[in-house]
Formats: sequence, C-alpha cells, structure tokens
Amino acid sequence: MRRIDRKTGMLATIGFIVLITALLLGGCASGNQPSKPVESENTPASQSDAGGEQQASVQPEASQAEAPQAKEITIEYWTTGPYKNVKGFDTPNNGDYEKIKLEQFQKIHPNVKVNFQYVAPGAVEQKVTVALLGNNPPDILLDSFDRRLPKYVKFNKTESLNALFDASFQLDDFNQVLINLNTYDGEIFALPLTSSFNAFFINKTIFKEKGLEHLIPENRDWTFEQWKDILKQVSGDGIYGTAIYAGNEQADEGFLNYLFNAGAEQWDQNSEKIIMADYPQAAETIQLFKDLEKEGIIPPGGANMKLEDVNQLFLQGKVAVINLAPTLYNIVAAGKKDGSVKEDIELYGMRPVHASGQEPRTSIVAQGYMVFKQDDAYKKEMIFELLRYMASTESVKAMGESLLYAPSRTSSVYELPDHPDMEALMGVMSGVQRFNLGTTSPYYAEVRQLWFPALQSALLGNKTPEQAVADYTAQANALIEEKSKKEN
Amino acid sequence: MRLMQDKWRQYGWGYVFIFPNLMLLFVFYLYPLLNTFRISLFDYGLGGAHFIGLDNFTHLIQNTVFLRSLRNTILFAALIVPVVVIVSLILAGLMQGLNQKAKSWYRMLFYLPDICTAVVLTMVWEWMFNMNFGLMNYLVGLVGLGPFQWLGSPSIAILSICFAVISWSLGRPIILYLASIDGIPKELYEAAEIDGASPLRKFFGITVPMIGNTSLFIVITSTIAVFQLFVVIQILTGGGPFRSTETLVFTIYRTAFVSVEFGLAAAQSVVLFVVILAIALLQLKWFKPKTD
Repeated sequence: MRRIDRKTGMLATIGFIVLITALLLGGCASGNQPSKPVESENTPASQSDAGGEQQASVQPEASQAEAPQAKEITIEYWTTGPYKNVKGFDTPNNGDYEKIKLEQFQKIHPNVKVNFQYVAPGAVEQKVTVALLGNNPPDILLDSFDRRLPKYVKFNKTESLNALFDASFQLDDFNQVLINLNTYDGEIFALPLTSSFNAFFINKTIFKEKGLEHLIPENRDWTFEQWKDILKQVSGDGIYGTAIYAGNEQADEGFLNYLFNAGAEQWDQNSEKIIMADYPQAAETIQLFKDLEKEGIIPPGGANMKLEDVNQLFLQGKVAVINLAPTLYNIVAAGKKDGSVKEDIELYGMRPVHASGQEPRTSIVAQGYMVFKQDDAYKKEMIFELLRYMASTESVKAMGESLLYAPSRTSSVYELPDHPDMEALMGVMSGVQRFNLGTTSPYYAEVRQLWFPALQSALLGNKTPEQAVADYTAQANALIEEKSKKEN
Repeated sequence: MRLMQDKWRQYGWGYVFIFPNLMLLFVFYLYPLLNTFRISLFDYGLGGAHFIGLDNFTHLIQNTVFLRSLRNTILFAALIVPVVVIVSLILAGLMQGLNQKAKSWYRMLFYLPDICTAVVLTMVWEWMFNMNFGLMNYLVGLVGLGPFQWLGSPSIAILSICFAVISWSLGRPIILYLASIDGIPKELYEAAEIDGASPLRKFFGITVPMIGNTSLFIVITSTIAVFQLFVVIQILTGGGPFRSTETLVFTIYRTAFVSVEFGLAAAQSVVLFVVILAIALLQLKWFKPKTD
C-alpha cells in the first residue's frame, strides 16, 4: 500500500508541480506583459493589444459594432467625487449619491454591471498611475480633472468625448470655460460636472465680540493694507487674524492665492515655464507673512501646518479670517448640527485680498468625468450613455447644490434661498478672474511638489524669501526641461 | 542515478508540502525583486519603457535629493537602533526580577503599540506634536516653556520622529529579550551569586553575552525596519521641513508615484536593497564571533 502510495504520490507531485508552474508562469507572463506594450504604447496598434490583454473577452472592433444590445458588459467606475448630503437622498458619505444613480442606471440597462470604487483624493494620483502602467485603468474616473487630465492626454490614455454630445445632450448647455479647460486640439477629454473657487471668509462673531464689526467691509472687497489693518485689530486674546499652511502640496492653493493677488505669477501664459522669480511681489508677500507671524497675527508653525489644521482653528473660533471654497457654508452648517463646529460661527464671504490697483483673482477647481481608452465600441457607447445619465440636468444641479459648487450646465443652475451670504458673495465674485495654477502643464503634479518645501524654507528662515523663490524657479524649470527632453 | 531516485522517493513529499509556500515566496517576493532589478535598467514611465542600461544609477549618484535621503536614513538608523536595543534590554533586565503577573502586565503594556497600525500611531503623534493644540506643547507649557515647533526645524523634526518611532518599537525586542533571558540556565546565576557577583556584574557578565543571538536578530530587524520608514514620514512631516526628513523609501515612493519614473525608483530600491544587505552582513560579521 505504501509502495503504491509512493508511486501515485510521485506522479501527483510531478503533475501538481507542472500544473501550478504552468498556471503561475502563465500568470507571471501575463503580469509581465503590460510592461511590453507600454514600451510602444504611443502607437494605436499597441494600445489595442494592451486593451486586449486587459479584457480577455473583448472581441474585434467589427464584431463589436454589430454586438446585440443585450451584450453583458462591466464598467469600472472610480470616483473621488466629493458630493454628499444631496437634497432628497440619504447620502451622508462621499460617493453615496453616485452609487444610487449607478444603481438606477443598471436597472434601466440590466446588461450593464458597474463596479463602483471610491478613491481617496490623496491616493488617486498614485492609484490611477499604477493602474495605467498595469494596463488596467478604470473605464471612468470622476475627479478634479483639470489637475490630472493634461498628463493622461499627453500619453494618449483618455478617450475624446466629442461624440458624447448630441441634440439631447447639448454641448452649448455646458460652461464654455470648463469645456475649454479640457479641450486639446479640438478634442474634449472631460465632462465637467461642477466647479468651485476660492474666496475669503470672516467669522463675524469674533468681530462682534470684540466690538469691531464696523471693520468688516460692506463691499466685500479689501486691499492688503486694509486686510492687514483689520487682522491686526482683531488679533489677540487667543484669537489670530488668519492662518497659513505649507505642510504639504496643498500649500499652492492657499498660499499662492496671496502671491497672485499681490501681482506675482507662477507659470507663464502657456504653462510651459515657471516665472515666479521675475516678480519681486512673490518674495515680498512671503516676507509679509513672516512679519505677521512675528507680530502674533497668524499662529506660529504655519510652515508645518496643513489645510485641516487651519480649518480646525477657524471652526473652533480661534481664527478670524480663512481662505477656502464656499463649501465652507455647508461645512459650518453641518458641523453646527453634529456639534463639531462652534455654534456661534457666522460666515461673511469676501473677495480675495489684493494689492491696491490690482483686480482680485482666484483659483478654480473643476470636477468631472474622464474616460480611459476603450477597445469595445459597444462598451464605449454604454459608457457614454452612463455619463449622459450621471450628468443629467437634475444630477448636476443636485451635486452642485450639495456642496454649493457651481454647476457645469446652464440648465442646472440652482437658487440659494438658505444661503443669503453665499448669494451676496457670488455677486461680488462674478467679475473675478481665474489665475493660472499651471494645471494645463503635464508636469503640474511634479512641479507642485517643489513649491511647499521652498515655502517652508523661507518661512522657517532657512533661506531668504528671495532665495527660496529663485531656487524654486530654477529647480522647477530644470525639472520641466529634463522631463520634456526625456519625453519628447 | 539510483541514489538520486532513492533520495527523491525519500524526500519527494516534503517538496510537495513546501511547494505552495515556495511558489508564494517566488510570486510575491522573488519575482518582484528580480523584476525591480530589471526595471532599474529602463526609463519606465507613462510614456513607455526604454532600455537605458545603468543610466538610472549614474543619475542617482548626482541626485542631491536621493543622496540626502540616503544620509537621512542612515542617520535615523544610527539614532533609533542603538536606543531601541539598549532601552529594551534594560527594560527587559528590570522586568526579569518581577513576579509573573507584573511581568505579564508590563509585557502587554509595551507590546500594545505593536498591535496598532503605524498609521494610527503616527496620527496620534501628529496631534501630540501639533504646535497649536498638541499635547507636547501643553505639557511643556505647564512648566512655563514653549510652545515649540516639534516638527519645525530639521534637527528637531528628526529627533521628534526618532522619539515617536522608538516609542512604538520597544515592544517586540522586550518580548524577545524576556524570552531569551528566561532561557538562560539558572545555574549560571547561582554560581555567580556564590562567587559574590553583584546584580550589575551578573547582567553584563552572564545575561548580555548569553542573549547575543537575540541582540543580533533585534539589531538586524530593527535596522531593516528603520531603513523602511515611510508612514511616519508621510504623515508627520511629508518629508519636510524642506525635504530634511525624507527617507529612502519616501523618496522611492515620490519618484515612482508623483514623478512617475518607475525605472529611477527601481534603481533607488536596488540601492536600498544593497545598502540593507551590506549593513546586515557587516552586523553579522561583527556580532557572530561573540555569539558562537
């Protein structure tokens, strides 16, 4: 018995090893393959090959076009969508509203399965990059498209969405500024949903308690001199005028706002080169904040603080003025309900602080859909159908209203009966121009990483503001030059 | 031939049983390791992969960010590993004389951070180091000092990170030392007592030499762990202020996922591998004769 067992065991051993080895080598081979098409990915033929690997069931284009309507397909849907607490829907978490809409879509199209995945905004860059390198990106990505799209377009990773628009889904209904943000050589690469801008917010209660309410400008506009004078008067007794943060790359959104409104520029007009060193206002503004810290007008440690820290200080009633998106109205309202925000915070929206004689400017962040390369014509059509459904007039309105973001569609405009201050703010912000954050550069993400260490070195006295700005400009331009040389 | 067949008959089943594990080792460790070596020879990004030989390594020699990260990592290892080894040995030595119940209590106390993830522990330290509403400044404020920027200047930030890492790195070495100390024959201590040896003399004359292998293991694993510091840097400082606390793994991460230069990141990983290997071999060489 034992002898038989040994012989059988031997055969089983060999068979087992051969089978597992074959399976694993097969797996390794296909796992290894993605690196091969990447080598020649710029050619359309290789892209089609790559897609073929990703979806084993994908059929040749010709037969797909003839595919019956009932063909079963799976759509990978990734989102960093910030929308929650949408009116009329139980949606307390990010992505909840989208999930409901996707379920509704799947009921209408039972042959379509949508795999939903919420991705934390801080992780999306990494996750999508890895997925692209592995040739398994999502089919659809809802994200701040203006920040990431240029890179994907440069490497031919995303689909043109021109065919998305038709008589029932008219391009004219969409905000042309947002459309232009994602148009390259006449091809539209993203479907905008909403957008937001940065403004300044005063906690009126602090001013009232200090008897300084008369300092709040009625026209919601202030120059650096007025702003500094107001902050000086409101500071003290545990209250700071404002707060800054340079602890991570988000420092560009918050801090650059001051630099731009002082008259400085970061990128040239075509977002090809950093020109900050040409503007003495940049170093002067950094010096201004160093002085404010010394005078106790801003809290110490701004060089290491993050956006959340500053928000926290404002929501605790320790900071009088903050620079953020109008969604702050909703954050405060929700926080008052759950007790996480001080009860008596009363917001008053202001135009961005600016140099005397200079028109204020602000940054815009736009959210919307991108579609990664598709090989299956029917699937692509269903993806477009899904996008039309998700970006319907009602949906865009609901998503925009949930965060007080501007809807991308003219037909989705909503009223603000519960937010009179927001309405007043929108009135004064309407003429404010957008400044160039360089988001159309394919190297935006990398250059962004260079700014906050430069700002930290200036704020902490490791370098003079002039040195920091000059070094940042030189480093960023060297990086852009090296990257474009390598990639072109 | 016959001998080989006999051996195969004798040990065949053994190979079957270890085969699944070997394959997992191959798929999840060996294959990625070998592939990292391969990728390090390519310019590998979203635009494609092109063979460039050793260019990535040449680039690293001139790359100040990488060299600073390497220096920082070595500095972290030099500061953290000796403290972890010495403090855990002292604590284990002190706990040796306690009764079983007290020993278990302290063992649990020191091991507790090990069951938390590094992310959670780092977030707690992030709050403690916060300049405006952190515990550290509250405590020093009680004696009229501060507030301090615990992560504000490069030197203080490095020390703060070391302090945080050491605080949660003691548990495992203490457990290992306690187990190792318990394994030392009691006769040696009894003989020393008869000879009139003091507790300190017994500790350095018997305990320390007898747990040499454990010390070697702790030194090597702690060094490897410190060379792989990432989460604490990512959450606490983001590599700042002005890149002064970036470690090798953090730089590898940024090179791969922010700059999308996977070839260069792979080359950095190869350097990290070689450095860790070299240090581990040196440590083995230094400690081995004492433990034989």
